[in-house]
Amino acid sequence: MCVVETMRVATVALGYLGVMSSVLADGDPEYGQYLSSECVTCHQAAVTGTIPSIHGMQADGFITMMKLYRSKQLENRTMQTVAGRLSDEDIAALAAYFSTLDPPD
Amino acid sequence: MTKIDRRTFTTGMIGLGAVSAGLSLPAYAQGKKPRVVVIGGGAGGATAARYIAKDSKGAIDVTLIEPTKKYYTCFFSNLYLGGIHDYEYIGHTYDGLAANHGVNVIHDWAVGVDGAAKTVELGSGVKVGYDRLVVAPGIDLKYGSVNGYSIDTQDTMPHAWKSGTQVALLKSQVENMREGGTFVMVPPPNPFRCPPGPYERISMIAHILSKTNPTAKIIVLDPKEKFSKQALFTEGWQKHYPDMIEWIPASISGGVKNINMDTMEIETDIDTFKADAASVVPAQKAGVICDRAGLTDGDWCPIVPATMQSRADENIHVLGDASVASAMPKSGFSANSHAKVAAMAIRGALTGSKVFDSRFANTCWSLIDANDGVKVGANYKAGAEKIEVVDEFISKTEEPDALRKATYEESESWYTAITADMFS
Repeated sequence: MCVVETMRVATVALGYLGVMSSVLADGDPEYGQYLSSECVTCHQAAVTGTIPSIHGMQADGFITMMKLYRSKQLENRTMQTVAGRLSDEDIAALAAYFSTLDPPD
Repeated sequence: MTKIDRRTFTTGMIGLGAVSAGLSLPAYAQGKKPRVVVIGGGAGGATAARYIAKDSKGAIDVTLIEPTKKYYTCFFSNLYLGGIHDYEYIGHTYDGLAANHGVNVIHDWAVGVDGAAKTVELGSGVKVGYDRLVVAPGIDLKYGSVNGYSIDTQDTMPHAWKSGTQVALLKSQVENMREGGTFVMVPPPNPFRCPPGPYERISMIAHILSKTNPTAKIIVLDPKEKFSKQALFTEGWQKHYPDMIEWIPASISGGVKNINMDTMEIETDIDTFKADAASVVPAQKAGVICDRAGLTDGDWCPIVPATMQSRADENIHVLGDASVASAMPKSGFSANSHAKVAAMAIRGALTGSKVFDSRFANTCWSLIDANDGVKVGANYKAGAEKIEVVDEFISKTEEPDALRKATYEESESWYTAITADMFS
């Protein structure tokens, strides 16, 4: 399975279906909104080709995904670099923000 | 499309004059609606206008000044050259900025800036007042940097470095080359817009010629000794276009001494190359409005990294290619990233909204052949003096085909996303 497919499957499994045990994010959505401006250069509300939408993603799934990129357990050099400098607080803020948005149609 | 008229400007100007005694206060503290003017509707300017208007939720009046009604992106113009996309795919209007975010879009040239009066003069003679000004004009070309090349003759060997009709012209010239003809590319010296761009252009022209004119040759007369993603491009050229491309650095050619536009001859120390078609990209500088506004130091505009404010005028933010962004390459992605930092700083100054630590990012994808995509990227922070790299990566040579295809597909997805992030 290629990297992108892995990412998409993981997004669905961890995010929208909420497979992981519920972890409440207490991140600051306003800070998350600022940080998210980097994300939306590629991840728009609508799915664009092979890049998944992360709008409306559940916080626990988002946090798990980003930590997997940060530890380089998920491939994709761009995402590893993006996640590499995010602190736990940053990730929680992003998760809190994106979870408030409407998921793609 | 929303436009502001002369009367609106006049009212604004009187308003500014009436409260001049209180100018040291932020606009929001004076109880009037602050105004931001953005010069340039590219990746920096359009993004800044959109984010300031969107995130201030109507609390800031945003005016975008951009001469063209349809903007053709420089990024992905090589994919048009390569026949991957048609011309209209890379064209975008400003309708969304006006309709969705209330941005006042004025299609005119900004011809002057009065920093003391805080006004921008348009080609029409109208002056637009601002509390904060965003200057994002992109590049201008230093035509005199290549002997024999000029603005009058540029269509003979299009630079095509500002996208638009010059790229369409270049594509036509490549397609009409004689069988077995020679295409000559003269890349620019550093620093310039889109460091991998000339080499992606060579790749995309080779992609076309390998199908339609396979005995054609491509000569690259580079003023530099090395270039962005060199190992990746060199490997890809040998793999996809063996014996078609010859890259000659200045240490071997001695550099381009003169171009005869009438005979299509490009003279170097080692030889005179007769081109059937050519693209000559001269040296570059910040868009000319930067000089007129007094923002340049040499060819480019120094900035304060945390806010992208001009070092020459704290009420002006310079974004994108025109700025000295140090470690960040001059790219559409970088300009988009600058815009978000500046938008946050401007909203903070004008409306008192929260301001966070500035972060920047860039990724540059390049297409070597159909489905053979590579990328380089980094994230950055604002140092006291310069924008500094935090972490960076680059594609590797000998990557599997599936990964290269995924990288290309990712670039396509990014194009859709960033153009929505700029214009929707």
